[in-house]
Amino acid sequence: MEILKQKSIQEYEAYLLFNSMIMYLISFVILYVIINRFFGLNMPCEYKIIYGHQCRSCGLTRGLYNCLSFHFKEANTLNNQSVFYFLIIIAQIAFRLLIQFIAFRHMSLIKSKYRLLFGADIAALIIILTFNIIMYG
Amino acid sequence: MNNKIEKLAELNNLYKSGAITIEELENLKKEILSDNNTSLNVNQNTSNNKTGEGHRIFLKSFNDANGKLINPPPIEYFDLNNISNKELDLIKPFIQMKQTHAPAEMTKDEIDICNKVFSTQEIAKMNSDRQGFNYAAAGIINVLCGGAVLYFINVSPCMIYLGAGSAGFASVFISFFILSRMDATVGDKILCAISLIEIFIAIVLFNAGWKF
Repeated sequence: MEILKQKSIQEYEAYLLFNSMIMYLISFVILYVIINRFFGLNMPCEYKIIYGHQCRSCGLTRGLYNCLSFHFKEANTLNNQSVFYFLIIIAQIAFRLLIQFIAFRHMSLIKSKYRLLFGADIAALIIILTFNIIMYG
Repeated sequence: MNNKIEKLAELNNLYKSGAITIEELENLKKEILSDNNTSLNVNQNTSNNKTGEGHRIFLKSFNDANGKLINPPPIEYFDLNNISNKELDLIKPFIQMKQTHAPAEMTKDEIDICNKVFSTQEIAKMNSDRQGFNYAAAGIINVLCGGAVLYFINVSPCMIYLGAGSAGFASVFISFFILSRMDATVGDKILCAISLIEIFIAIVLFNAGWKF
């Protein structure tokens, strides 16, 4: 190993990287829904193939596509979590973009508050999962 | 230096024995001291000539993790092929601290010196001692993969084998890759631990027959 001119990633930079990755991941989910619809990929449910009955997320891809087309009632008939997931996705994208915007304009704010933001992220994740399990089983 | 003390002691003995007078003693002392000063000047010139060997190097100050300014040692010339112990004692701690706290500010000379005077293990240790992450992207992907395994097993089992399996394999592979690096920081290791804990919980829940 030879020393090169390198820079370690500080914690707030790692948080921003995490934020970007989540944003791209969620964007990929939306892209997957659209591509799946237009190219008819229709990946089968592995759970249904193995256990013979539908799982709790079956119909979600079609439901999300209906949400993108603003057909919310139809979306909920395909999977009753569709609208819930759609709202979470929209809220997440908005939140991630807001953090990127703040980082671009006021990096010092992110440097001082990144721990709080990360804590809020974890808390939001736990609340969403708990709510999801309570509401939709 | 020892020669000077020996001569002065010898003069003192001669004076005590009465062989020389006090005036002669003082004159001889002055001669010895002036000779020694001359020799000292010669040593200094020699020393300057020695430091003039090699090429001129550029060492730059930096701020450590606590914001304290660390100044470089007063070395202007450095010969990489002929490094004295004194020079090593001066430059090693500086380079070590800079590589740990401000690697992005290393000058070309500092990088060359560091590669010359430190071993691979020592460089890796310096890199691992720094704050933050050396494998941030891999570590975050690792945690997200672990989270994906938990998600596919507990929340969305449509891709329970393909999704959870591939994410789990990727997560374990990345964890072992990072943990086997000598320059992984504490932060990198914590991300690996989080990921492996996620995988462990997912496996436990899967084996416990979690109902969807």
